[in-house]
Amino acid sequence: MNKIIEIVNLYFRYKNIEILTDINFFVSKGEFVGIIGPNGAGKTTLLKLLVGLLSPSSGKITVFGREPQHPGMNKYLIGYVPQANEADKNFPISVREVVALGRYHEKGFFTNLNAEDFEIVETAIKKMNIESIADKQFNALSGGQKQRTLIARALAQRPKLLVLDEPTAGIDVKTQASFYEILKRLNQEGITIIMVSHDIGALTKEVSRIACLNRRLHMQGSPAEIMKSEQLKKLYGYDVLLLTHEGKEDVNES
Amino acid sequence: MNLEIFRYAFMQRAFTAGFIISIVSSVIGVFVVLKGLSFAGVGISHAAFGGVALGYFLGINPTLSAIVFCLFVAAIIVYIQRNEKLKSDVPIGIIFAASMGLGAVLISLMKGYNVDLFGYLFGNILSVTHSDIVNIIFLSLIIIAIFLIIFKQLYYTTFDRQMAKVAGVNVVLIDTVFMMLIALTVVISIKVVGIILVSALLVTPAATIIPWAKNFKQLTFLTMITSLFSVITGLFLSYYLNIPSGGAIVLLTTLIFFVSFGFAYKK
Repeated sequence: MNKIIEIVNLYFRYKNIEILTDINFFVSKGEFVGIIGPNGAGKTTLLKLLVGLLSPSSGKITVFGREPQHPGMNKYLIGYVPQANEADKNFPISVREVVALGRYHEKGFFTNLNAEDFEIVETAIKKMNIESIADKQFNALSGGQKQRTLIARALAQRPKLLVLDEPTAGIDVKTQASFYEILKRLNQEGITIIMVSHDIGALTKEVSRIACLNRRLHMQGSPAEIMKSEQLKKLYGYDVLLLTHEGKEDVNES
Repeated sequence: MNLEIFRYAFMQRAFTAGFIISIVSSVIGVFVVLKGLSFAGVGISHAAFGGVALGYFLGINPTLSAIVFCLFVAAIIVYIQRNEKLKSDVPIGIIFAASMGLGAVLISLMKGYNVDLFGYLFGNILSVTHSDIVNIIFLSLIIIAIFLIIFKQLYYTTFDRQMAKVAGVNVVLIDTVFMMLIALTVVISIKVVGIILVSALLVTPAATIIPWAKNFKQLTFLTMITSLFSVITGLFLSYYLNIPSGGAIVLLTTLIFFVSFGFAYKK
């Protein structure tokens, strides 16, 4: 059983509009998969289906061999970081406390976090390089720091799969580079990663496989294969190579 | 200060009730404000009017009927809110008016029955009986026990509902149970603060402290202090000035809120 995610003939409709059409997609253990596609392509929807926040209209999704809406013990295995954190701006919570939330799910109604949990929390904080801000208020952080905190929270869950929705949105290019370094290291440590991004350029440099989504799964393959393909041009309606890091140098400035 | 006020059994009861209510409404109120449920607090408290009237109409204990009715209303609100075709404040708007309407109709049907309507609506310290105190203590223990049981899940759900859901928290169950805790808190506060004003105790002290609190413990603790100060001082004012206790308490807590608000936004 090397396949962690299996999606077969998946359709998703919302208010009679077909958001996802006939998706067939597999992710194996240890992969770092990027999903790209234009706005409204259904990328976030696909991730929400993967983590069980939405149910397929038809077709089948299994993650670690179970349907995500009925994860059973699998819920521990999936660390999800949504696109925008909905937290109330006034919620008084420190970075360390946010990360500790990642341990809550293993606790029932009657047990509290123990020494082992706090150790796991500290390890997650170290892995994401946020020790220096661990006592700061979450709401006082920059976008990049918030994202790293939320990923640390997901790591505190000790997941086997990380599902990230646009984790680099709103983060400057320099911070993005160190962010990808961390993700790569996590991937090398055996965590399978699936992430959605607009930023085709950075993504193609870092991931092992790319899937192009626009309602349908148009193509998937190694970054090199994808970038060569004419399909991508069709998908976005313009020459996407111009947007990649292998294209013009001044792209980062734009 | 002349403390003759404590010699009266009814004032002792009012202070006891006030003390417990401050603590419980602060603990619940912090989450009411953070979860953006202020209007739900208003809705459920007004529904208590229908519950109390129903008790008088059927000849049963009005506290008991208010408990059952408010729990029922809380459950209905959550149930309708799950139907995503309506925005979440809509069921509250509907149920709130309907319960008040029910109360008005039932009371008008009980001709010649002397219900202390003003006391129920705005709080009356003279009305707190010995059995009210027993009820308040008993219900408070239930509220606090349930609150402690669901605390972790409630905290997670309040911080980020979506992530809590993915991490396996039954967010609908937590929402429903919390709404019921609001209902019980409303019921224990009616006699002292009054149906119309009880939601202020759930919202204003927590809203006063939120801009200042560094962490959750501090937020809860300072909210309790603010609430206790308002309630105790309000009871004194109510006694000496012969004004409704609920009105005095709410005006005080509102005054503190505006002072805090002024300073918080000058920062």
